[in-house]
Amino acid sequence: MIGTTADTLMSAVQADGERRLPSVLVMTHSHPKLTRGGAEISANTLFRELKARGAKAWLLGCSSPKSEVRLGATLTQPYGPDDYVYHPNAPFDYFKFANPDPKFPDELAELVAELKPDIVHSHHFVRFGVEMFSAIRRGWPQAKIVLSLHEYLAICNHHGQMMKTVTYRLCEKESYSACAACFPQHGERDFFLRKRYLQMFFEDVDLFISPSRFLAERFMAWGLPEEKLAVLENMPPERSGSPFAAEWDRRAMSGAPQAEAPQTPPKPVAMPMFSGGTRFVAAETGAGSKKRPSAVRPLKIGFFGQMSPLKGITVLMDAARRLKAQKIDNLVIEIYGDYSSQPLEFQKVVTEALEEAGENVVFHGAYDNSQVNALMQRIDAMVIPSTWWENSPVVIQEAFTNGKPVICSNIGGMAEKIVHGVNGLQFEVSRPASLAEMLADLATKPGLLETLAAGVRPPPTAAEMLNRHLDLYDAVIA
Amino acid sequence: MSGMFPAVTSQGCVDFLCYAPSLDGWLAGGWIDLGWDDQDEAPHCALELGEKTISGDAVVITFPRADVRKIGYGLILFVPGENTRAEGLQDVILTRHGQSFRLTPSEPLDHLTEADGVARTKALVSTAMRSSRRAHLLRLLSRPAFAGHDTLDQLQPPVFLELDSASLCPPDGLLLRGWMLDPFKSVESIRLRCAGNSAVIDPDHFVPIARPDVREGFSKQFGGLSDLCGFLAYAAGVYQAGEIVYFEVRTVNGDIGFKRVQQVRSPGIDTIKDTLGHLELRYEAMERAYDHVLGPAVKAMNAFRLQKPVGYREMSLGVQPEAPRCTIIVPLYGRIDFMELQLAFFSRTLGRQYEIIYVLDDPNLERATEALATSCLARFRLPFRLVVLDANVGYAPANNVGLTLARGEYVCFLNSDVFPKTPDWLDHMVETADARPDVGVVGALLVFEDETVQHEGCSYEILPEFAGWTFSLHPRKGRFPSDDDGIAPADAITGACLMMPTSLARAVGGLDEGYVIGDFEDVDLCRKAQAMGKQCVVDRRARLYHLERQSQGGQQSFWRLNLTLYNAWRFQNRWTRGTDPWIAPAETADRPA
Repeated sequence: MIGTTADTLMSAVQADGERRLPSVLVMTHSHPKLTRGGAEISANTLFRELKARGAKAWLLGCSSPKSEVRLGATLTQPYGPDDYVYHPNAPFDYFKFANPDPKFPDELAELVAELKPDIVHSHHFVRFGVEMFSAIRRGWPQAKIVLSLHEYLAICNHHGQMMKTVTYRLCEKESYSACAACFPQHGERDFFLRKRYLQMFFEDVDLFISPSRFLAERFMAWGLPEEKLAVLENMPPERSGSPFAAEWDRRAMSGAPQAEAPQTPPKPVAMPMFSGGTRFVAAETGAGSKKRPSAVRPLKIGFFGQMSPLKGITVLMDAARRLKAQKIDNLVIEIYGDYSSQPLEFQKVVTEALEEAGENVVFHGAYDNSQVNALMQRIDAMVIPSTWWENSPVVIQEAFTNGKPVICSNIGGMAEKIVHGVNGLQFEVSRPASLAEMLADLATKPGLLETLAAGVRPPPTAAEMLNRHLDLYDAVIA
Repeated sequence: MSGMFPAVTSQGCVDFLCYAPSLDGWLAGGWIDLGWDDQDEAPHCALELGEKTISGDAVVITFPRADVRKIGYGLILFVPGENTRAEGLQDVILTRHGQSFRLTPSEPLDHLTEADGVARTKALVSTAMRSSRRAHLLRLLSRPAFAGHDTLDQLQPPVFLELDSASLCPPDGLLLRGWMLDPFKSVESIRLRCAGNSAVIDPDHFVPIARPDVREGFSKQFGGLSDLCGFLAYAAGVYQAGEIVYFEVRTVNGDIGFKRVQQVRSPGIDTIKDTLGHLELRYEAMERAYDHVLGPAVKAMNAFRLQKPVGYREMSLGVQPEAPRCTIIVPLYGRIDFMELQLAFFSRTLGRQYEIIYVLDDPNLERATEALATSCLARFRLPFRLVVLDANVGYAPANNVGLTLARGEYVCFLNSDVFPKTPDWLDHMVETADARPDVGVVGALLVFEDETVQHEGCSYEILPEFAGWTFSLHPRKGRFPSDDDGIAPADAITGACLMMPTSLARAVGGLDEGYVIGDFEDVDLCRKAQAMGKQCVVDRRARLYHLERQSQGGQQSFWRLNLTLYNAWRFQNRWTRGTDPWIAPAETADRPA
């Protein structure tokens, strides 16, 4: 199944009218109405698209602390008849992803017995617990169980990052001894049991969907059977928040000229405070046209996302310093993101770096995801300097949606999506000099940016992605 | 009562009685019939106290006594002997040359303290005619008695005796840990006394403990000191609740010093650990230490700990099988998540013909375990029973509670860190036991998480560094298993996974609770089954993971190792030295139908 890429499946797409649509219970570890992580957005888009297509679909997400609880009720329906919220009733075991809530297995079994879905597609196993699969099996044995993998959590106890805890070096493979070395509070035997526990409950899953081949291969190496793994990108993010989104999607698909970027004022960072040295970019006019008037303004490289060590913000800042030292001044790095939730020590590092940064760094602060397309229109290329593997960063899809090439670290789930010299550039992970070299190339080699931009293919629309999901559902039901 | 004595021809009376620890004997005063011939030859004395009789050669001294002058003499009597603590003097019978005198207690009889008894005796003896007997008794009476304060530090040459702890080994033994210095070798004897009880403390039986701090502290003052001036000693039959315990040190010069024992620690598993955490014994010294000190002390403490059957409560989770073929008994301590993991794995490997009993031997975790048990049933839907013990009692007693409650034809003792590898592991073991009436114990092939052997049957080996005692070992441990997946005989089977007919397990009394905390019970159980004519086998088709933990270093490992050695000592006494042999029950266990 792993070889069944989305492209080859496209040939199997039937006209919607002829297609028998399966009924699907979409599950996500946090209800999309409550939090807006990647998995929740994917799940919600899937649910929404299924309903839009006329399929029977339900959504089940976990509550947040701010959710209203109905005394004694495990499942509630505050958002409508097809929409369920699960209120976990016991502290979750994040080591082996077990859910000790004694009420949930029966509630879930009863729910699927009542709904009788053809497919239960879960976008996570945290908070529900991996035992959910056996409860679904028991409640409605006819259902096929699909699990989307969003990171390496089952493999790696270090937040699923597959990086060492102390050194933050990249980790190629789990082993009981290596994992116990990262977590001295757990012994090797605990990691042995953790793996057996997870794998035992994963046996009930009929299909694992991985957003990247890289992630799929990591899970194969960990022990998931190849025939149960498929590679399929997550459902694209909603764009309903953006007034330009629908039009943009249509134009991106049709190859029509892109709209001008909106003029949005920069948002100051929430905290910590810093003074001088860092500039808010002024609202610009005329930015974002497809062709960069290089003689008029410098090349704009965008960074979007959390300014965390794993996202490589320090690698980027270091590369900017090097470019400045090399007197490459026709390039500006525009940072859209936030670091207020980072550990204090790291906040200090970033603040100092921003204060010391030259004029080739512009810090815009946090942004609202609904504005992402508009903001991306203001830049010429995107940089993803992540120091960890990544799964399949949604920001790549967003960049491609906006026709922007991507410069990324040469590892993992991101490197897989970027063909060097075609739709972007790759540099050696965690090496600022390598990143600086690529950026210098982009700024100085005439026509390179245009070549890469021309190489960007627009990602599939939500409707197309739904078709690919339906193909996989059909395959697993067959 | 007096039928064993010659006919009583005369009489007298006892007015007062006292036990004098400093004299190691009884003092009595009264009068005796004129027929008594006052001479130096000591009469035999029988002091009938309750149901006990103190008998021995007595020192008897008569003196003129006005109130009985027409019928007899005043009398003082000293009989060496122990304090029986029995109440109610019946008779004192003095016998000499076949002639007996019965002295009856007056009403009421004065029971005097040592100090009062010695003072009264001294006053009366001084009125008697001079004789060697009188001189001897006066010497005895002038011995210093313990007056409640320490006098040991007044001895010259100096003697030092300090205790770090004194632990009760019920009913009346004391385990003493401390240090002693006798730099001028002036100590003649040491006694530990309490309420008239006494025990000789023989430094030759000390278990030596290195105390370099003591040697260093005194090395400027005294030469020739050894690091091994610390000691563990055991005194049996001394302690009496509520009474003062003290040492009496006599020197070769005839001086006596006293030293009070400040505190007596009550026995418990922590006392045992604490005691055993200070020792590193090997070779022959080890056997002596266990024979004279550690063995009897730990045995008494453990027996006390388990004297009352532990109470328990039971939760039945789910619908239990009606007539289970086998009951799996798993004691739980600390890691209750092992129950969660085991039940998860069992849910995919065990048929419903099996019963599972978890015995929580960790009362502190009661609520958490109950909640987890409810959750496990909801998640894994495998019925089981949870037994919560009122106290932490250890491996054997916890398993025995499970054995009492087991409803299966067979019982499988299973450790909580053992997890199935093959789905049909227990089916194989039951099948083997069903097919082989000669088999009493069935084990499994246990592997570590890296698939190498943890256990495929135990064999015995004699270890010279451990007093030449016999220990059970795991052959092939750490290596990959052989291709052989048959059934093989073994000397013994590890208790990590050990199956046997329930009737046999009960007939041999279950796991012996005299072993402390958890080793040797399994091998002992196998020996008992073998003594009943049954074999032990390993069924290599049954495969499980045993995630045996590495032992930790430091003080922790000392007490654990020494406790293992205690258990080894008990095992030797039963099965190799024969000093405390196991007696098989008269009726052989019936095999299950």
